[in-house]
Amino acid sequence: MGKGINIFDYYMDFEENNVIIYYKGPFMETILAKISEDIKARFDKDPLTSKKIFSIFIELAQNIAHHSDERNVFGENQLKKSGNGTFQLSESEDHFTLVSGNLIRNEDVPEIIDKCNTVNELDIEGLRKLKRDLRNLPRREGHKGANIGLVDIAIKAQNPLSVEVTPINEEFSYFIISVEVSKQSKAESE
Amino acid sequence: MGNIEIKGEKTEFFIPTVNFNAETGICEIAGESYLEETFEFYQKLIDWLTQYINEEKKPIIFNCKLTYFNTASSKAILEILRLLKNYQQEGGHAQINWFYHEWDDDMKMEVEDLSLDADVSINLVTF
Repeated sequence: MGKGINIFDYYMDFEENNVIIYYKGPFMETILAKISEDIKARFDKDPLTSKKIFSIFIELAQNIAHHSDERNVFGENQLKKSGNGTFQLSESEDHFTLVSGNLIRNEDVPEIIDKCNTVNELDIEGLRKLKRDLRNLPRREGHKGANIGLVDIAIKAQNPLSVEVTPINEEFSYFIISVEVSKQSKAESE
Repeated sequence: MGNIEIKGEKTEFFIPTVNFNAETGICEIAGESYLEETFEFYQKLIDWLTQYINEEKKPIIFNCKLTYFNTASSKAILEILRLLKNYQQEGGHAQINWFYHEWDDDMKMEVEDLSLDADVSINLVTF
């Protein structure tokens, strides 16, 4: 055995934190589709929570696929165009936690922190209005999305976004965003 | 004019099932919407509806049965709703029915916001 991370420690860490899904690598569509299906199948007894987790996952994954500054250098086209990152879903007694992590350029840090702060200051009605306002902006050239992913995540989660930025070097920082989704009691009590 | 018939699939992206019928004016979109080229996909639907409105001038029943759509898709759906709103204002008949699961509070909220934004009334129907 060479050096590197200890797989057993890693495993125990995941077990203790009730990690359900952990993925690190290229955010390619084929993989995202599989993870989505897994999320849906796993929580089919609580459809609203399941859909919330699934929707948030898609928006987080798209952020990584489109904006992560860690790109694959392999030859295949599919790999080349997808950003690299990490996604984790864990469960505790009354909520699920979704975490995503990826590299970003230092110059992009203030804008992202700003966006998250704005989102966290708003209540649900304020978020709904912000989402509508952003959706009404003209489509941005060269962007595939509607630029409302973070707002939508906060609406679906009904919890604040927590953000952690760790500088790596002069060019890049590691950006982690996490959000909790409370378990819905509604489906069970019906 | 012809119909639009797209069979939905969920292999990589989630392509919705689309049936726009020029004979009956019943336009239905169902399934899940998360696409590689969202705007291009919906532009085809918008172009078809524009042609139908200009040439056929018959009533439209728009049935939305999407159970999931990402934020990029919602921007395109809003454009469709605005097109139908314009048709109504020009004297055309357009009815919008939105099917959702009773448990899906998020979808209900989303439809309320789309309705507010496009200033058009949407009938919410449970599956």
